[in-house]
Amino acid sequence: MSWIREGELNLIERLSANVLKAGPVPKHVAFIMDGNRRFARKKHVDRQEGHSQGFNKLAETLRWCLQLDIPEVTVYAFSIENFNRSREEVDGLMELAKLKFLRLLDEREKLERHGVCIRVLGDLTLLPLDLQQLIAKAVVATREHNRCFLNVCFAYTSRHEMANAVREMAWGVEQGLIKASDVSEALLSECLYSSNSPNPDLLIRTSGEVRLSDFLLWQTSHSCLVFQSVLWPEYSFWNLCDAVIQYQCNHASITKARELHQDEQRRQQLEADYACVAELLHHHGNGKPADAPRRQEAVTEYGVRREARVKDFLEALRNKRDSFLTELASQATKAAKGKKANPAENGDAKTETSSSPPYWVSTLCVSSTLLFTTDMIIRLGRLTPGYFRLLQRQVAGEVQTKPHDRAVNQIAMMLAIVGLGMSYYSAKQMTEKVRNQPPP
Amino acid sequence: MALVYELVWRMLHVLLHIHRTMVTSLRVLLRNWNGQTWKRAVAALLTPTTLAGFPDTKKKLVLEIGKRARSRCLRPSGFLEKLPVHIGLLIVEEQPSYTDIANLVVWCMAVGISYVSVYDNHGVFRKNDTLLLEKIVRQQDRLGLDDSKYNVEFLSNGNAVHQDQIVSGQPVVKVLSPEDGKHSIVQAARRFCRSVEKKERTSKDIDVPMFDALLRESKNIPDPELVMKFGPVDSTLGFLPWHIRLTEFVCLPSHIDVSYEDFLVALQRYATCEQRQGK
Repeated sequence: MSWIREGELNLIERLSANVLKAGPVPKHVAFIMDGNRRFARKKHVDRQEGHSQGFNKLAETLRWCLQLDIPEVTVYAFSIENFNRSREEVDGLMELAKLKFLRLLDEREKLERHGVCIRVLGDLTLLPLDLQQLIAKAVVATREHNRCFLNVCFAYTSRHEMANAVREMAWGVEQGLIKASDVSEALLSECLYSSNSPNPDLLIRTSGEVRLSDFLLWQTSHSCLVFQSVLWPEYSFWNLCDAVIQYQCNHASITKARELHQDEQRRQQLEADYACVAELLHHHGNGKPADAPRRQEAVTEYGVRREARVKDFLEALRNKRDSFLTELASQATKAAKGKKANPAENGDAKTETSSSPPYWVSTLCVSSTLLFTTDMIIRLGRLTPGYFRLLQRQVAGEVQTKPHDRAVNQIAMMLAIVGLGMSYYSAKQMTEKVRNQPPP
Repeated sequence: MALVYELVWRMLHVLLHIHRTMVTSLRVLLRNWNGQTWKRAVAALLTPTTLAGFPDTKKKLVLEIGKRARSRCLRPSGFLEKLPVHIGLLIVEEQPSYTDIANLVVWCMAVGISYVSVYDNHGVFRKNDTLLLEKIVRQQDRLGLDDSKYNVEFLSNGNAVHQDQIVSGQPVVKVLSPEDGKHSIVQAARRFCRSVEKKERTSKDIDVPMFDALLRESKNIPDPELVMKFGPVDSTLGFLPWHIRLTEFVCLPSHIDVSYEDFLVALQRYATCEQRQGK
């Protein structure tokens, strides 16, 4: 399934979208897409199928958001805690992500036409290297687009993000770019992964859970939280409308609270500046207390210098992050080029097999069951490397053969015995012929 | 056309507003009615002879209600599968009512919750904490729960809570304001950066558990497992962003005249929540 779904709303949906757009519409919506596995259980389908249906719903929801004039969406795709799931499911999710990001790279033109910028928030270093490279490529490719934004939180938790922001600030202090006293709420916000986007106005969690599960804790402190009981793959346009209406009901009071908080933040900043100036004056130690206007002047001057420092630091931080991504992306391109130029090269072949076993195995299992259930021996599959691998694994006992395969085994055994017998018979005939023929 | 849409939008919101007020007034009405049956039931239990003339079904009903009431009053936590250790009371209303908050706090204690945090985004309770304490003590006396006296304590001013109080299992009430939220995180970050500046630590040292420890300052208070939000605003409004990672939010329409029944229903909702921790 594709990332961008083209399509129009029907008449009623369009009308209600227009009605909603008459009021305040959130500029940024965050989703916790919960309920994929419960959906799979409910519909008695495979868990992986639930996850991919969830992804399809995401593409659809993005379209609805665009039609409601919501330019930015953040989704919680994979938490660091999710690494605790079963190996098989984590591998499946990684595989799904890989497929989707590959798909994204294929759809580059479509993304460009819609102006979609994709960012990935999270600690990429926790992911397998090939996925890291893919992500970096996708992010770098769509970096310049600015009409709508999709932030995918992958290998993300909010606490990790905050701790990381503190680490970045400490790095700035180590590099001598900022002072410890420059640390403020605004600076911390700028050091988060989400520094390029405004705080979300609306957070939607599906499937009836009523907690944030370590998602955007810092950013959503003044956002409207909406908990809906629908499972994510069943999410509909009307659920989204419902959430937007709830946001509109809360809009006035939340805006007020936000303003209050911003005033408080400014006051704290000013207080911190005052304290720093006082300390400086004390440190320089001419002892006499400065008069009020001079002190005021010193504070303003200090503020200007602080802002300059912070700006330089943020510039450096942005460069650091950008170069990390570009590096990864260029690695990926290099590796791809190398593969194309010299496909039989040993190292590349190895990486390919190691990166893709789940896909291989699944196609193999499908082909092998097909092979055995339809007319059996006559339609032997081509002896591809994969088929050999399957046979090897069967011998090693890694792949369990199904019970109905026993009949096949017996038939194969019989045929083998008959074949051996026939070849023995023909060999005997030939030797007899040779013996019977008189020597020339 | 845009004008028509705006008109429809306004109408929609007016309707929603009317709907909301109607629901609240109905709720109050229903509760008053319930309260009356409640009192009648208790009265009937106390004087069983008056029941003689009642038809059988009604008698059964009254007895049923009485039984339920007794079991709830005597063993309030008996029917809850799990109970939070730390509960947050988040007030997002314009008019705070100290008596109702004090009631809620006392109920939390009676049910057996060890830590209660009270928060509002204007810091009203923080400013008037003595008033709140007074009310709490009065409510306690009224309910006759004098076996445990509570101490009101502030999260941010250092060593106000003594270790022995925590060990002895005495309940602690905390009054929080927005300063305990993002501001305290910034303070902790600043402290860490100071130590980096002095070369005591390096930037590589920081990770989630360490920063968590820095924030807690050796106070062993768990994260709130449940937040009861009172008021019409669907937002946390700056309530402890670091600590609400796994907190369940249960919303109640208002804390004014909140009843014990509502409180228990909220606790029950918490008891049915299942946490999977990423799995």
